[in-house]
Amino acid sequence: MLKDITLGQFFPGDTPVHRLDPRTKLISVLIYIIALFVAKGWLSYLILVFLTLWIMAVSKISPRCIFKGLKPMLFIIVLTGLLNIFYTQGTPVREGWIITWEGIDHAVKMILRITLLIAGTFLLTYTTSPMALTDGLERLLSPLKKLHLPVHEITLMMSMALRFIPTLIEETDKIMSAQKARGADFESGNLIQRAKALLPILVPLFVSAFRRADELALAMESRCYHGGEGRTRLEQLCFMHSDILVLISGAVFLLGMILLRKAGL
Amino acid sequence: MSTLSTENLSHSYSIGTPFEQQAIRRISLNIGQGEFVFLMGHTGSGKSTFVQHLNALLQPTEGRVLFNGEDINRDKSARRNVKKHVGLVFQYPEYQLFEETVAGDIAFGPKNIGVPASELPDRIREAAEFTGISEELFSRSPLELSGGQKRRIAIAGVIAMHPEILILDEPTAGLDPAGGRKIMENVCRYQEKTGASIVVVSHSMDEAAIYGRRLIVFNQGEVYMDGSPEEVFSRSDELSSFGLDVPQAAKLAEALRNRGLSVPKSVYTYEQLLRAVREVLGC
Repeated sequence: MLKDITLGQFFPGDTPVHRLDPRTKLISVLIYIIALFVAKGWLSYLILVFLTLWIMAVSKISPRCIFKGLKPMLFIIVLTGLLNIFYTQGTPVREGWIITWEGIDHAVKMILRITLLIAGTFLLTYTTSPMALTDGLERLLSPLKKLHLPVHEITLMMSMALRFIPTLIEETDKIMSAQKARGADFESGNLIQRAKALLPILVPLFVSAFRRADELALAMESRCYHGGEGRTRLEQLCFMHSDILVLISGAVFLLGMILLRKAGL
Repeated sequence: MSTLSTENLSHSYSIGTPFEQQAIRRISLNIGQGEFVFLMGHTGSGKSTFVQHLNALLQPTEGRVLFNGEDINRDKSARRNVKKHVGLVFQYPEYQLFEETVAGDIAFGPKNIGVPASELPDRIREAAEFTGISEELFSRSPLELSGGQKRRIAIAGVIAMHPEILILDEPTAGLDPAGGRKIMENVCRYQEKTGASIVVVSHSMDEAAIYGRRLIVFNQGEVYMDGSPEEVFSRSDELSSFGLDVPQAAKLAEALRNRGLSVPKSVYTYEQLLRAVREVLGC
């Protein structure tokens, strides 16, 4: 059901990964993504796979949770793999076949790259609460305030959007159940019938979303919220030794990956 | 004759994640023809999960739900079919209204279960009468009416499906006492006229005392008590030990007993209390 959507979900825990400063994690994920695109040879991919598995083990996130997050992307991953297999020039696997050794090589690497990319970002959101994530982002982007970019407002909107994903999913679930109890059928019929069947869900959902937005704005104003100017925080972010260690290792790691690429591994 | 029963019903949420949680455990109950049952329990005791099994909205992790002896989860058509017989009104049902007119919204359920169009106006009028909605409202938009009116329309939408078992999840929550009373009276009238069974999930002991003929108390996903109001309310210490209360009238009766007035222990509504006090005082 809808409850199984893992987008933006956070699994609370008390592992070294959970304890890292959100800024460190954001930068590390950035490094990780760059490294993924720098990687060229099999050795680099092997290192990245092991790194990802190691972080998963340390953060105690089960592979099952990651796999569940990957599920909606399965189609894109498979399609990319197939396209790569069939549309890469090179030596055919057998005389007369379109499938080439290079194609298989590309396909596997491409699938690995996308899977690792998603797994890495999921590890970030699984181990960092949405609050910490947006706090970290706000601090990282704060230099842009000098360019009159409304960083605080942007991150506030982000955290609210993240905050309301589960609420809206729950609400959708409830409305769906209620309409099902009234005999509504969302699973059969042709495309037009199915689209029409969504109306009894969408109307109440929008009505309640607007009501919620109104109430939230009112609640914030009645607590004297007036924007980011001069706001202090309850919990100040501060870098620990482990953060510095992770960031330095990250920089060294990226350098290593670039060197590996130069060496063609 | 229609009966609904559960056999060893268990349900867990979010199986396979760190959030896994068993909501109800091995519940075996039987709800017979024409019963008026109150399901009581603390928040999170599994009442709402339980009632959502009764019309196959949730599938049991273990156990079965039987309607007239047949498993309602046997296949897809059985799951659909049971919704014609078992009507469920959710908590805060006013948020489910979506049609442009009140009449259209009430007709949504009957239309879905295949009631012919020629029969619809009668069904709408009848359901509106049960819930006290006047015909002037039929062409209005349900979204612009008051909270109490909206809720009555939502209940009418389920009643119009003519369920043989009507389940209401906290039908009076968030309403003023008069509005709540009206809804409960409407439900009682539906039962009198049709002989349907009624299951009400509620927090209000006073409501249970007035309307309930059988009370089922849930605690931590299990059935803790099941009996007549007298039986259940006589165990007030146990009730309060898990956050439930006894009706106000029962409390008052106890206070009077403590002051030396011999009011019987079986008193739990104001009417009974009044009668008992009159008897004791001889007036």
